[in-house]
Amino acid sequence: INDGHRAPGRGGGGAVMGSKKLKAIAVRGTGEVKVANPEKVLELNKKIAAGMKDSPVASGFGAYGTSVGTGASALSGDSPVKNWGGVGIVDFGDESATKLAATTFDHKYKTKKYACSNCPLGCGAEYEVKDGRWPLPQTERPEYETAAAFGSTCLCDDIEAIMKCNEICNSYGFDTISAGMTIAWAMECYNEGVLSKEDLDGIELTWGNGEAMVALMEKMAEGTGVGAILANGSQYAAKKFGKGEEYLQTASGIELPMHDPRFAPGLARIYQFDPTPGRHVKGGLGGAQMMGIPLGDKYDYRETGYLDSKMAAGTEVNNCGGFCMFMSLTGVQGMEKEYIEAITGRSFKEQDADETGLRILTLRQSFNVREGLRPSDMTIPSRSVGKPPLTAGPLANVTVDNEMLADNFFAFVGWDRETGMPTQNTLEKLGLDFVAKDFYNLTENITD
Amino acid sequence: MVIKIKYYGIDTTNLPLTVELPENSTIENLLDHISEIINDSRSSLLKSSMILVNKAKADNKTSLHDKDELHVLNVLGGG
Repeated sequence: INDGHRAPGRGGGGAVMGSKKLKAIAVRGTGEVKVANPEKVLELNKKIAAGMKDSPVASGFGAYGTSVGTGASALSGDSPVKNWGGVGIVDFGDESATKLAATTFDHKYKTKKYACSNCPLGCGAEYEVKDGRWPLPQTERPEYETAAAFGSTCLCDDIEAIMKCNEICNSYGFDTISAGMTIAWAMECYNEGVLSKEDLDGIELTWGNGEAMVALMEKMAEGTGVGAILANGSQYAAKKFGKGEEYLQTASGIELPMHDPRFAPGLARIYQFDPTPGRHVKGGLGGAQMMGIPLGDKYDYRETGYLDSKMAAGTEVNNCGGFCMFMSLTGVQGMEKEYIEAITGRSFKEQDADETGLRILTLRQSFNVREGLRPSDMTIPSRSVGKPPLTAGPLANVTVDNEMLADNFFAFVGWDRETGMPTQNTLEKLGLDFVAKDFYNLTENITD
Repeated sequence: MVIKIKYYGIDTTNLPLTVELPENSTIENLLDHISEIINDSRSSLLKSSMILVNKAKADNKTSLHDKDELHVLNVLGGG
């Protein structure tokens, strides 16, 4: 838990800790953090604050949080709809999209804003639901991913049901993306007659049914009945039931996040081939397309490798440096480098950032290769790449060439497309000699 | 001609929900017209937004017709 309320829980880190009977590791620093050039850091902080103030996008996030865009995303095709099989403008509609936008509901529930330590953006808020079916004395404003996972993906516009599910997830340590997507999978199975009412302990899991969604989420949290199965995710549930596999929207086993590759095609490479698959926060070309940064024709799949690898490397530096991805909302790219130089006093230029990011990315990839994972094991669901394409709405007829995106990326980062193994030259160039030694059985001229 | 507009992902204060434009106007003309009315930083958001005309994707050069319905979608990735 960072800053008291941010939990990096997606992907099962908590489950690994639980399996080792490790409840928590608390870290409390008492020493001084020395900064090489405090004046420069202060100058950069002011630059960030001014950039945030001038940015209409940052203003929107600051005022309403990330769910300010949930309605727009449902209609544009950025958010998945109806377990990735629907079209927002057709299946969800204006009225439901409006109900999901924070601009519609924020004033009703917000009790106070909050920010991570010293952040000038402050995209968080505490809410209170005073009455109704699920009163919540203190809860979090749902993030975009949460509102989309339990919202448009389940065809649900009942914001109080979504807030209740969000609260259950936060209290019990569920990732809201995987939880919402697992319910969306179960909804499609129920509506297609694959799962029966009896399979779901008597719950009528019709599309958009907020009451049913909350009932199921409570069972998942308590680990009772069908909840004990669904709490393990949709892929586990499909295997356990022995049916419904055709409706899974998982990348190498994890439920997809809430940005659609048919809208931002570069995401297909990230969802399928990032060393931790199914992530919308690993940058790359898809990350830029998702943020609306104009980079030419996003559906032209030729020669994407350079930008994809450079942006993925930049995101590794951002993540490992402990920066917020929303720093880019200032419109100034690459400020991480300036901060690292000011804090450490060491030179850290663009080439250093590219190499460092690629080193981190390649080390993560090497871990997977060492553990036996190959590119052929990395899957992406066909709906998410438009196979077959949607027939209506803004993304009609879009099919993403995920294979070409992957070919281009692997060639640029220097990983073998068939085995996934970084080439010896790549490893040595990045200073990962100890990995090269392991992979290529080298015995000479290598230092650990 | 009269055009109906719905906005998503943007503060709608003072944004017109219907606009009257000369015949043969395009989306670009419409967005310029709205930008003149609001005269603030939201103009850049409007111009980078996805526009749907009668539920189909459109671009700046798309011609508008009487009673067209527009969705202006300011997509804010993240969260």
